[in-house]
Amino acid sequence: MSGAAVPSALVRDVRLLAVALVYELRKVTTWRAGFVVRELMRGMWRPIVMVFVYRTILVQPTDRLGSYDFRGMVAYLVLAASFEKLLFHQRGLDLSDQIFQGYVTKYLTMPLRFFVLALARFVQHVLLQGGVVVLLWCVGALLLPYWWPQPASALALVEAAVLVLLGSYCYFLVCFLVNVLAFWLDVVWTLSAMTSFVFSFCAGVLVPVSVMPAMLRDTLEWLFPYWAVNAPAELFLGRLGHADFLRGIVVLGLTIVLLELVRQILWRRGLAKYVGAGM
Amino acid sequence: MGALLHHLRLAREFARVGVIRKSQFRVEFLTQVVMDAAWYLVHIVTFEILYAHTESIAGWDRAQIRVFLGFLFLSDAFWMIWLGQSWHFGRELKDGVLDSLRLRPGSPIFVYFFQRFSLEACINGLMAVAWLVWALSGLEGSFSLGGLALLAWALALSFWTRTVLSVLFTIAEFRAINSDLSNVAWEVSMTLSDRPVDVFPLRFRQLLTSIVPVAALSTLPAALVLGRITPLEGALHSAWIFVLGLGVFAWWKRSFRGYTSALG
Repeated sequence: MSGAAVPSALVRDVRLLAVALVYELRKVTTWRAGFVVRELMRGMWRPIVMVFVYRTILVQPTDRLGSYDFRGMVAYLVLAASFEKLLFHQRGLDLSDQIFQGYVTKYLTMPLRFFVLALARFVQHVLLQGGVVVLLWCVGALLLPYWWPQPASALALVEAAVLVLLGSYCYFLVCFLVNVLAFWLDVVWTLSAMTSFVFSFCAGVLVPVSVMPAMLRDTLEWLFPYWAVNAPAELFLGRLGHADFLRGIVVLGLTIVLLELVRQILWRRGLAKYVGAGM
Repeated sequence: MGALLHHLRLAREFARVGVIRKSQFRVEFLTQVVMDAAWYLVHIVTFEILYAHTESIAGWDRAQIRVFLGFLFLSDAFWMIWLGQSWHFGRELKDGVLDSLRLRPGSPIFVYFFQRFSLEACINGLMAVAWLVWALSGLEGSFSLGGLALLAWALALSFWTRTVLSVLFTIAEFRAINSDLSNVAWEVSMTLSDRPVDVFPLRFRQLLTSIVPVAALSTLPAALVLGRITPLEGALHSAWIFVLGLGVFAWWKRSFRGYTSALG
């Protein structure tokens, strides 16, 4: 490939991404009932249930779970729920269905990279959920100022946002990989559901990682889910500092490289055995 | 009696087809067993972490929560073994592929919801049974004749409620095609059933034990076996949920009468 061909391919991908993004945004906002159900309330229920659980544990003002009192725990759960909303959602991709039904071949005959279409779903998700999170945060801060978390500083807010976005991209790649397994398996929805559940645990969505036993905590701190939700929440609250942010960047960066390599290998191998006849 | 035997024969046929299908996809079989086991593990670890910091959650101690989790796992395994098809109802209704339900022999509810037998979930069911037996072994009288009768009753209540809720939530799809409401409602209800309903405020708890009886998936069965509610209370709850279930099935059948393959 010549030097000029690379930028032109990149420009073509960016143009395709923009067109696909507009299409995805129109699609997701057109369906009104589904929009409210899927987009606004996504990821909210489990943290809400956990608020009630913690209310029965942290009864007295002096009660603590690790370093969290009840108010601190509510603030943490609000942030964890908000950040989890920003993470790509498994239902945002229907790649496995397309593989099962033999649709993928039609994309292979078009002059475009299929991954760009999936990437448009990711960008659409982040933009939409970013808007929803900002809206919810403003409403919550107005209605429940005592309980609502405030950023420790502007820098903490920016650092938390960077980690969440990188973590969301990591999770998007994981979702893509699980979908690609449809080349070899006949059902992947259970894998998607369980991946989501394990991810939530490792990310500390329901129980902060700092509350977990030391060995488990030390292990989870080397995995990307922790840096996608738990660490950003604690950065936001001022419980973690700049050095932690830098460590998070390293872990998330390495994870993206690794997942991207695996994605390319699996995609190529999957296509090599694909006959487009569905399962 | 004849209808019951007929539906049992259908269930046996679904199971036979499910076993044949799964024998051809061994990797998928293994991954689903492992992932379900991970789901159990996450629940167990979450509660064990919480109990490292407290002795009681809404009046449930560690031993009681382990029994609660046993019912949660077994109830989930039942759903995975028999009712997994309900997850696809919204999509299939939209795509208009349910015409054959009108022709098949047997109740459309039974034929649709029980058609996807999952062999791998049976393995997870065995794990759940092992966990529940272990959790109960620490409680005196659990395996006496009376204890076993209570256990059977509690499991029947849990499985019946699973079926009722699976059917109930899909009714929303008849009203709002392609809304994904049934799956969302299912996810929300599973989230609520993951913890004893005693953590919630009174009014909400009443809702979860009556109109949308999520509590009967795991909280009420565990409470019955643990003696947290009396057999009389258990009987009243069971009677109500049985009647509710019959009403839900009638409502679903009525909704299905308006189905045409052009709905989507």
